[in-house]
Amino acid sequence: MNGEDPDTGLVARIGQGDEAATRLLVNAKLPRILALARRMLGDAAEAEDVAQETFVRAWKQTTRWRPGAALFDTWLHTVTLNLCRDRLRRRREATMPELPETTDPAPLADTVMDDRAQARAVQSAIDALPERQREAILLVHYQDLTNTAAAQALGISVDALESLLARGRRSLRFTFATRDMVDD
Amino acid sequence: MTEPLTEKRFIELADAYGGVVARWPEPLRSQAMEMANRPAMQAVLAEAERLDLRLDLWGVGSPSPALRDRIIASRRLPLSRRARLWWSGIGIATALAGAAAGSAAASATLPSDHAVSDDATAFGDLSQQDN
Repeated sequence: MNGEDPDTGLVARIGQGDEAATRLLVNAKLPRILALARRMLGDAAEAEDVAQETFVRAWKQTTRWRPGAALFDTWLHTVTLNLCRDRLRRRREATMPELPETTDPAPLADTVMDDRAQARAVQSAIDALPERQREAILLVHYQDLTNTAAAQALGISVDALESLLARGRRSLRFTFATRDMVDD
Repeated sequence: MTEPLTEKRFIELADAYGGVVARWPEPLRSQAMEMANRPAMQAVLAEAERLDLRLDLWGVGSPSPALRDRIIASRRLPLSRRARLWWSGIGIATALAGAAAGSAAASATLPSDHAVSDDATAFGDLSQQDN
C-alpha cells in the first residue's frame, strides 16, 4: 500500500459510534459503490441491494479495521465486486442455457442516437467483454482506482491488470469502429 | 527507482490506462507529462482520449436520498456496543461465579461453545449470517 489510508480516521470514528462520520463515509463512497454495482449488474434495484450489503459489511469492519495491505476504499470495491459476481453467477445459472444479451448489433438506422442510446451502446460493448477485462475497465476508467488498488481488488498483479486493460480497450475500439462504419 | 519512460512504454500506458495521464501509474506521471509535448505522443493521447470520451457516455445516476438514509440507518453501532458490553458483563459475572461456586455453575450460565465476536448484537452474532 502506498502512503496512508485517507479513510482510516473516518473508519475509526465510525467504529466508535460517530454518526457524523457515518454520514460522511456514506456520502463519499455510496455514489461510487452504487455506480460500480449498476455497471456490473445492469439493474438498478439489484445494485441498490448490493450497495446496502456492502455497507452492512463495512459497518462490521469498522470496529476491527486495521490499516494494512489494502486501503479501506479498495476493500469496499472488493466486497462490491464479489457481491456482484455472486449475483451474476446465480443469474447465469438461472438462465442457462439461454445466451446472455451481451451485444447490441442492430444499429439505430437513419436516426441519430440520443444520449441514452449511446450510453446503452457503450454498456452493451462493455458487457460483451470477457469478465476480467470488463472488471478492469470498470475499476480503472469508471471508478478511478489506481493501478495498484485495482490490481488488489481483482487479486492480480499490476502487469496482469495492464494486460486486461489494454486487451479490453482494444476490443472496445474495434467494436465502436465497426458500429460507426455500419452507422455511416 | 522509477523506470525511465520510453515512447514504447508511453504508448503501452495509453493503450492500458487511456488518454488521461492522471489515471497512469503515479511514479511515471511527471515524465509522461513531459513526453506528452512530443507531437507523436500527442497523437497517441488523442487516440486514447477518443475512446475515453466514448466510454464516458455511459453515465449512471446518483443514489437516491432514500437509499442513502437506509444505509446510514443500517449502522446500529450503539445497539451492538450495548450488546457487547452486556455480553462482557455476563462473562465477568460468569468468571466470578465460577471462581466462587465451581465450574458447574459457570457452564450453566453460558454454553461452552458460545463465542462472542465483534458482530454480536442483542439479536445474535451477525458474523454467523455472512455468506
